[in-house]
Amino acid sequence: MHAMNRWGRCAVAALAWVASWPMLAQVPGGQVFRGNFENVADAPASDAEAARFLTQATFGPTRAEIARLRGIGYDQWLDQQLDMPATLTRPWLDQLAANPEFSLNSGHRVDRFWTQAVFGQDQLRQRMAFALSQILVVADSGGIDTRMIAEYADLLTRGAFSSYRSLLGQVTFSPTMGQWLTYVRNRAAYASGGSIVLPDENYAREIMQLFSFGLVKRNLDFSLQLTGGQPTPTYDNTIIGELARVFTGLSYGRTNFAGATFGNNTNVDFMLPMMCFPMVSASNTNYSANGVTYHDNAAKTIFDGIVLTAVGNNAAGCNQDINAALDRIFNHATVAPFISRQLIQRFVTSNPSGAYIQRVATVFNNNGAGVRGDLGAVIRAVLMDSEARNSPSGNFGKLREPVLRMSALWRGLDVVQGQPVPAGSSDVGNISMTLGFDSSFGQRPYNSPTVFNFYEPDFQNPGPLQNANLFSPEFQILNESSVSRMNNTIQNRVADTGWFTVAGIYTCGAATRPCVQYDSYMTIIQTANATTYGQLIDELGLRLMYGGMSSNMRSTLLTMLTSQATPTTNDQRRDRIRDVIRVIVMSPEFAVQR
Amino acid sequence: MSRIRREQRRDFLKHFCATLAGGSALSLIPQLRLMQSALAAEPLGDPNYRALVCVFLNGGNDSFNWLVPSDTTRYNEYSTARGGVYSGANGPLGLAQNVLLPVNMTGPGGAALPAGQFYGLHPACADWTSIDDNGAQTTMPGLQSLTNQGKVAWITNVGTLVVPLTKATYSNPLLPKPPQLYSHNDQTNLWFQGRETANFRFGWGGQIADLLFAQNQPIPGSSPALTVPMNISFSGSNRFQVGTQVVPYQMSSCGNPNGGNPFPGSIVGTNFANCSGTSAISSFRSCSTAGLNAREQALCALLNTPGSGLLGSEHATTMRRSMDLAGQMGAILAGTPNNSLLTTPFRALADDQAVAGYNLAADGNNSLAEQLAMVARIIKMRAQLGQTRNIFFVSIGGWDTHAGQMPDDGQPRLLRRVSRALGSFYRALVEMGVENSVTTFTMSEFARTLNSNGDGSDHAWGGVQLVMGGAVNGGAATQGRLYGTWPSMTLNGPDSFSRGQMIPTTAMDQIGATLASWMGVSPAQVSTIFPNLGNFPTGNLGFM
Repeated sequence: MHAMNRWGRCAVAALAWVASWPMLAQVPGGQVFRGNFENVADAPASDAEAARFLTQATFGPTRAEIARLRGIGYDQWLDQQLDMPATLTRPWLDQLAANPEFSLNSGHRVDRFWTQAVFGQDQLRQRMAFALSQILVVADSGGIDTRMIAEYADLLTRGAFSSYRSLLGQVTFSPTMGQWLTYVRNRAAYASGGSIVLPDENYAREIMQLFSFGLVKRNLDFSLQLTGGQPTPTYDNTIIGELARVFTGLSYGRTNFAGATFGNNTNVDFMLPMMCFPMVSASNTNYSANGVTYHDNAAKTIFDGIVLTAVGNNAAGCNQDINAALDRIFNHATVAPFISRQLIQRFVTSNPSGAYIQRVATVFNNNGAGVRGDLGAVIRAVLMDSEARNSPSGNFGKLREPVLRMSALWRGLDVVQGQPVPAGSSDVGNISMTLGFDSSFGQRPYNSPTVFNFYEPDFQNPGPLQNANLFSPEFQILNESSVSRMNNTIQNRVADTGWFTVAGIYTCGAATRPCVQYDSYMTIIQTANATTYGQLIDELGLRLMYGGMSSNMRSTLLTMLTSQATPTTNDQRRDRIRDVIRVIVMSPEFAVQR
Repeated sequence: MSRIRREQRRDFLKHFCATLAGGSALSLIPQLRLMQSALAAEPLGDPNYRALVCVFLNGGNDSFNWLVPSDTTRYNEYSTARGGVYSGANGPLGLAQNVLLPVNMTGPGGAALPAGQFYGLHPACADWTSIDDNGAQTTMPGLQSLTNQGKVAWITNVGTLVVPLTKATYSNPLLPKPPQLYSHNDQTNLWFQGRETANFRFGWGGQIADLLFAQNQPIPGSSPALTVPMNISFSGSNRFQVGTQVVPYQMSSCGNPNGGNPFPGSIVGTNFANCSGTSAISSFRSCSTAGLNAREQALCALLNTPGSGLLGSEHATTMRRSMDLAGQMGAILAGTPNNSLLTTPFRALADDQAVAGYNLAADGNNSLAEQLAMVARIIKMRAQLGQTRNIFFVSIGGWDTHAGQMPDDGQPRLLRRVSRALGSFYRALVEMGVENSVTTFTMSEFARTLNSNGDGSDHAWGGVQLVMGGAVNGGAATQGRLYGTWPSMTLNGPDSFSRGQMIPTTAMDQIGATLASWMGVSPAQVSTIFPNLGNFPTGNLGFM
């Protein structure tokens, strides 16, 4: 049998910390947690509060994680999460691919995404990487190799709590990004057929517009800096042309330079960062740039009149030039509010107040130890801000995107991982999460159609939301056809026959698919009456809706159950449970994370 | 009745509608039926069906390789700007003079083009062979044939503008320029909005619909009365179709229904017949269905009292619309027998297989053809759906050809898809006898630099767009017509910047205004929708 992933089957269930509480316990990552609420000053006051925090910070609360968080408090939970090693994609795929029977495709990568999201211990890191993947967007929709996408995802996962400057550097030199935004093998201007070929402007534009500071200058609270009553542009097309000259001279990385040229693939390693050409290496004296300048080494004037001075016409000069430009971009004053606001949108609310953005942006600018762009400090500020922790009201919150709906349900319902695909298949060893190939689901990670992500931070849904001037990014992919396709997929995975289990009564349809556990709910309504129905609703309300269900919704669900015949068979009990789950999945209150 | 009085009446009705519903999505409210009877004695505008179909080329089409000057003098200017002729090696972006497909063109009104000026189309615009489910093959028109039959108007050099600009006046700080030139999403929004206002919430298609949607009827026999939204998108959310009152309805195409055959041989295929483009929700019927079970009643109760603020109520609204429309439209578009099907084939014999070893399954199919096939089916069922006015939105992406532009799987494949999809769609309109009632037009956020970045082109500004239909060119032309002014293609010449970014000489507002007028919008209302229109010499380019 092939090795399973590091958590093995029943990973979520195996975290049944409740059983060991209040003793000290060792988590798989090696950290010790305290088991005594009273000693923890910042512990959530209730299961509901803990569940709400975990809904914001992870791919969904589990009963086990709720108990653990209450045991150790927010601070220590965050400390542990920030220190937890990254669960990665590419090593897993490479391990699968070591079997000659296995044939890699992008579905395996997506299966691995779901496995990490649902079963990964490093929940905050995984969630942060997913958020970053929606800012520093690449996608395999452009035909980019699956392993390159996987390596890029790992780059974001490893760097999820690193310096944003470091991340920008790794992203810029990533061959995945180089292909996606077409600047790999981008060259300094050269003559061809009587005209001058100028550098590709794609990356120069998007690194400013989307990856760092955006189109207009903003204050720390994201308000516009006006000039003569108008927004102040951060750059114009001339500046893009200048910055495009910076991102020249990069070709695929290699460790063996025999026969290597800027334009050929000899000995390239697509898993390595791109490299500046021409390069000089002690082991490589044959290689020659033939006198061609690949990197434009002359001086450039970029935004705010900043001059990047001329550099040497060699690889060192090229690296120096690119890093100087990245330093300038990273230090642009609008980066902090621009990135902070999007992170708040991804984790907490679509419409943060200016004060909330400013508090987070202030931490972005200085983590308290004089360090700028410390993403670990930034995400802590996002999650622990009073606006995130206070009880929600008004239009606070965000629409749950398809991925987060599905993951919250799977985790909340203690999903059990499927078995690896047995030998005799080109998928051998893969652990299917059954959404790997599903395009009807509406959101396939690392597969947005363009660099503008699945949705844009400034999207306003037409109608009442737009009229109230409210942003609602996730609504951009919610429409009358996607809402039905998404919900049909989700309902199927958690409530259709063959997708849930009750020990000794109902089993999942196939060993190689994920399966949610109904056992405890069957127990609750073994004797069905208004009281036990209420307990069932409250249990599911905590697991799936962080205890935030309105009294109106609770009474509606109770009426649904009590208006039907009292179940006397397991089939009938099962059907009542499925009814509650289906209506929760479809409900407006579940759809909105508050 | 005088036009003025009609306008007042229309405004009154519009205001009345807003008061009545206090919000958007008005086209769905049953009360509208009351007003329909008030309107019946005096139909607004043309009583016949009229529809606009927006084909959005998402990413910025290098349209100066779509329509190319073919007379030697101007061809040479073109070829030089493009760095020569592409011959399989990276670098040049030019098409060879002898591969251009000749088209017969006149200017506006049928006036001859200046002596010695000729044009050719990209070779992807040739006639092509379709195949249906039974294996029958048919020769179908591409844009070359449609142009030569007078069914296409080409418009150049068109782009976003606030006021007319020239190279000399561009640097005048007193003259407003469209904000965020060269940026994908911002320029897309300007094309959709019809004005330069940043983050304007509405599109010109939506504003046209605000004025016309009341002419549509509820679905005959629907109870409670349910009106299909006038604006329908097959390509997701877009600002173009959003009005102050009209919210677009988003459907999906049936290219791959039920996981079956990737694309039906014709739109007669079994998979297609079972697909309505709407999508029902499992385990829950529409809340207006009689005899709902306890589970359905619970959901409907929650949808009626959603909670969670506007995010929650808007999610509930979308879900209710989905459930209601899936039930009623689904029955009309995919009933048994299915009367919405046409015989016109939309599938090419060798659509995407021109490149040896090309992987059809991995790269998908002609999504634009799939979307337009669904548009055709809705048009066919327009009476059963209560529709007399529609604005459709379809799109195809992939045009951001910074790299790999010239090989067959770059821009040529996209142009081929567009040409073939439009060819099938026009044939389908002829099959239904409504080719004069439906006008199809392209938009793309910008054209691209004439000069190469080594492997492709970068973002630019003005370019070429087309309008297709039986009513274009006055409805009786026997050859294509070219509107607007063809620019000098010299890099950094009189009309462009250093890389051949064209300064538009026609504003996209002028195209929109011409189409709005054809839809029956009055001149005063056209000027409201396009507030900058008065800055340009004419609000009607004359191609309709």
